[in-house]
Amino acid sequence: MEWLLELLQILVFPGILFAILLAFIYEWFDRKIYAKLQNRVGPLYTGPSGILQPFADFVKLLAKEDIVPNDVDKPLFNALPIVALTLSLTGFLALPITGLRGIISFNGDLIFLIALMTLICIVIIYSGISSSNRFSTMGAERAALQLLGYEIPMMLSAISIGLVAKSMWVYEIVSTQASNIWFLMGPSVLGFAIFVLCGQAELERIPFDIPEAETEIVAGWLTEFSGRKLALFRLTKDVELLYLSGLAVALFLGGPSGPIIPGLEPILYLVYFLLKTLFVLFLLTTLRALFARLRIDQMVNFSWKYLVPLAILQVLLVRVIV
Amino acid sequence: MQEEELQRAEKKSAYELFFDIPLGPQHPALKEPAFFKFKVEGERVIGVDADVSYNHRGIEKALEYRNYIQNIYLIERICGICNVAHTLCYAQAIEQLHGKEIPPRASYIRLMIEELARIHSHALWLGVAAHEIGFDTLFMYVWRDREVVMDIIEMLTGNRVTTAINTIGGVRRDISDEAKEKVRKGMNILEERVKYYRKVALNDPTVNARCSGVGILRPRDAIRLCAVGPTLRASGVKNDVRLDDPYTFHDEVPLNVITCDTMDVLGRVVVRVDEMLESVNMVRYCLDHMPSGDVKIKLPLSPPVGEAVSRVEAPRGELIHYARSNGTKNPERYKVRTPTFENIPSVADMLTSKGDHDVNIADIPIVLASIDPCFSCTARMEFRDVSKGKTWIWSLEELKTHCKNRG
Amino acid sequence: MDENKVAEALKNKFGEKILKIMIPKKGEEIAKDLVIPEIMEIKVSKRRVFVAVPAEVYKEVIRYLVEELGFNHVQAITGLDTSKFIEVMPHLGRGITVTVKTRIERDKPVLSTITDMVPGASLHEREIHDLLGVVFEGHPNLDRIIVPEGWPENVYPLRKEYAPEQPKPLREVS
Repeated sequence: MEWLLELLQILVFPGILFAILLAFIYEWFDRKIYAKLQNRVGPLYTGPSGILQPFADFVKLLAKEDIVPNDVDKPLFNALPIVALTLSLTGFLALPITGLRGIISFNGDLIFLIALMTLICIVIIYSGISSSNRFSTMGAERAALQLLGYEIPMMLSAISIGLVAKSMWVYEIVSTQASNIWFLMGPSVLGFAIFVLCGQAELERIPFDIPEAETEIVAGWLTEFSGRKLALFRLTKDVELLYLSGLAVALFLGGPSGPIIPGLEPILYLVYFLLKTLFVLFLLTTLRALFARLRIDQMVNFSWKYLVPLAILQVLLVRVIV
Repeated sequence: MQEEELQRAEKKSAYELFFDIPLGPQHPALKEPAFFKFKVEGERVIGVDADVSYNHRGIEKALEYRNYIQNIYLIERICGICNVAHTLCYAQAIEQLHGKEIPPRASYIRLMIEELARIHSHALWLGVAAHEIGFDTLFMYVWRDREVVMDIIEMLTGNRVTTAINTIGGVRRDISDEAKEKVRKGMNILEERVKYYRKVALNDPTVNARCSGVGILRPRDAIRLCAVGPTLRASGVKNDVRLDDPYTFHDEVPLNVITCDTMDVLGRVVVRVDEMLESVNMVRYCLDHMPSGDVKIKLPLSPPVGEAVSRVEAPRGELIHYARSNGTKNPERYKVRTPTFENIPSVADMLTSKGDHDVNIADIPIVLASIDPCFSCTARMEFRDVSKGKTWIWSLEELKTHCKNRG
Repeated sequence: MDENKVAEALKNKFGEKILKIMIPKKGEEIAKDLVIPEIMEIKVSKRRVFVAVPAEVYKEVIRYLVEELGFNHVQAITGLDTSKFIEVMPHLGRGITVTVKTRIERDKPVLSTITDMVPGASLHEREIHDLLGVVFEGHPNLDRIIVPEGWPENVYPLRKEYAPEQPKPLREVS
């Protein structure tokens, strides 16, 4: 019966359905805070205080017409949204939520998780290229350039944490952090800041939403997707947001650890996970509201001139102090 | 010369080096339809072709079929944002034809409404420009404060956008003392907020990164290509119709013409924000020094035979109307030349990469937005007989019937 | 520069080509010149100068104004179809507006361009070409700018004979 329990875990809680539900709530949270920072109201009518708005958007998009232009590379075009969603959900399954280890957990899975994010970006590039449209191609080109920018600092800061915990296993990183509280401050603050900033670039949000710049290239690589495919891509973005916050929490903020009452562990771990990821989400949304969009050359410049040296500094710091 | 270089470069490579990116007629960066075709190499723009008459409504021809009073309302609808400037210019042209002067109180009210409209237009532009560079927070804040001006304009004229306050012979409404108090309060709020936006525009690092050094227009090119308005003044050339050819007491009301030396988009932002502050001061001066008297004189419907040229500094630049009357109730010819049309050669110049100064695709929306394009103003001339064109020839009865039949 | 000084300068330079000069008071004297089209003259009012010149001298007058008197800003170029001929009027200047009026035949509307002196006038000449059919010699690019693609050749909307179609009423209103 073990396998039935595991299947239920993967599909329902804390697996796919839970991920999708949480993704919608996080999107609502993001939109509400963004609106408040702009002196607006945000989603208001659907559900209490607009909480069902992202779900309503998703359902509406599913019902819309799915237009496939003639010139596109049909196998890629049709498959890519599903591939993207699968990748981000897989990543979510590896996050520690109701315990110190996720559903997928094995030695070396830190590298697996980082690689998953890169894979999602490669899927984005392919979707831009497969829709044979000038704007999509430009969006894909910009996404590739942006990947060159944020990939290295992000990996370096994630790996620096692995160096501290002397392991590449997320479970061990989280347990080490749970037992040494000083971890949460000290040398990892710089790494946390770099990781969050690069996360903003990976999620393609302002100030780094260059591949999808609305006023410049219509919708970048997303231009030709409509109906169900667009719904799946948007869901992918939300799950990615959740996944990135969860990863940042697992690596830098000690995962779901915190003061526990024995017996109620899964619930408390869940609550701490939610609180900490909401904190990271709050940081990401504030970044989004504060800046204008950068140009691609400015972004790559900024990344290589400032972020990469800082990330290297972080690795050295960790080596020296710990 | 550039064409040959392009062709030579294309022949050297086996791949397609240069890419044509179309912008428009429908595009999120454009608030009104226009078509630009950019020749790009990677992210670098090397050539641009413009086609602007998508909003062509046949207004100049239509003006010849209506009498002078009906034309006020048609002129007003050339553009929503610049409607005060258009009606002001029209009223001035017809008053020149009649050869009569309007009472001073009417001139002061006209000046005040014109400056309020300028504040409104520049605030709108600031929000739109912020949206073009992806800075939605600034966009939301500026448009919230624009509501202050809209409420004042509504209180004074009865409508937020098409104000219809200028008429031939003066203005249609007078301003009461309570209204003056409210306007003063509104100006105080606005002044504080505009000073804050000035600080944001000059100090925010991402705004600087996107706007500084972008869309360069040298003063010599600006004069040669006949640029007007803030586009010209941001290249350091001190020309403003209110200064050079004053109308409605602009020679009495103190005015500082704002110029900037940076020749780029940031310069245009600074010029417009400072002009908003200047307008606030001018509105206050008008409120304090308004003379008493009539607000309108009665003029006959047909002006004598003659011609007149009337110029106004609209928020976007110099606006010129030319009127020729043949003694009847309808004009013989009425020409409108809007500032955006005049700025198109300059924007084409700003958008081509020259020498070692590159123009990126990412800069296109903000450079286009920096001339404050109002393409509805730009295209007014030819009469198309498609169903949209027929709508406004109908009389009120016919329109009502049509609406009833459509259900 | 005062508008009277501009009028004097033009008179001195081109005096023999301009037949009559008058400074009008108010409406009535302007009426006379529109009725008698052969008289070319200069009219002056506050910051406005109207000069009417024959088509042969047009380019020289513009060159004089642009290069020697410094009126290098073309505000607009108005085209006008009176039923007998076509008038083309560039408006020049920043402070004082000098309007140079010239007349050309309706059947063969050809005029020399002023874009070699003032490049900013190119769009205005294209507009007049599209709407009135005037061909500007020496213009670098007289492509279609205002009328839509597919507009028939030789149909010029701003000419007097082009009348817009009036729709029939949907219902007889008695």
